[in-house]
Amino acid sequence: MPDKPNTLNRVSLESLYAELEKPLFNVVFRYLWNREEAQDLVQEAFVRLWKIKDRVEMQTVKPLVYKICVNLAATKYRRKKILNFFSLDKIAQESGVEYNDILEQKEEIQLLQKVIKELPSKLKETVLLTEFSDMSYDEIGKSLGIPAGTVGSRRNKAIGIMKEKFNKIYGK
Amino acid sequence: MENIKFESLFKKYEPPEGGIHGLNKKLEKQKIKNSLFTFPKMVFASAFATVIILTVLLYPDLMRPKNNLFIDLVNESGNPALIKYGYLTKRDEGVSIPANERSRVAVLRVKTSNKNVKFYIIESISNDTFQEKTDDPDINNSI
Repeated sequence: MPDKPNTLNRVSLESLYAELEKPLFNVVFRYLWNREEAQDLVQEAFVRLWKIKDRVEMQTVKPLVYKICVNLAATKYRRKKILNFFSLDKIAQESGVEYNDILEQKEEIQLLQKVIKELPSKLKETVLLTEFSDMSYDEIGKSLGIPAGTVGSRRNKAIGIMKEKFNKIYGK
Repeated sequence: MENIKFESLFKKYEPPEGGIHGLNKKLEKQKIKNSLFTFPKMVFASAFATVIILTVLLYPDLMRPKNNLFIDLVNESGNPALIKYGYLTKRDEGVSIPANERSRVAVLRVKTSNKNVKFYIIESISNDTFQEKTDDPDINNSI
């Protein structure tokens, strides 16, 4: 049976993945701090999207994928936190960052982790979506279930906290 | 570290290679998994599980030994409460065995915590001669 127009099919899923892989990876990486895990989670989000393909409308598919990804990442982040809390080799797992990149990136990531780590989850998801997705505030609002105006105010608040933390680390 | 600017916090990193292949692999795996749990298979599996559960539940009843000779004997003796072999009789009455059957029937009274409840195990010992193996006078009285 041919696919209905405007519904998700395998070709459109693959092209959507090609388009959104990088921004989604960057959002999820700020939760998990592990490249392989982040990629795995992005793929998992697309598998979940494929499962509900009959109910997906192409006009709203982007906010939906971001929503699935952020939810999965937040859940995994919470689980990791709990596991680390009960883990005996807590110190080894605490940083959780995979440093297989060049040294410069390692420092950047360490800094990034320090600045983002303590950001409240609502501000974190908002600022990550505004900075990494190419979605409008309206679309981000749909994805997070908040008005577009709230997206803006949360983003500004998050940037303010991050700047403060950044300057503290640099001693400015 | 000193060269890092605030803007670099939002630097876009490249994901590991082979993302699309990984996705396709996961989708194929999902397809196989889904085909294992189709509706007819689920119906068959649940029916099979029901049969197993019922068998386990009914097993003690189904496997209870049935001694037809014994049942006939108890019927004749006029004590239908004992027809179900091994069941406790709640009637406060003795067990009577016809005189001509006494040499082929063994009766054993089981001690119970409630003296108002009398429970007997009666078994046919055909081709054998009845031998009293207890000193309990109640058994003799009840025969």
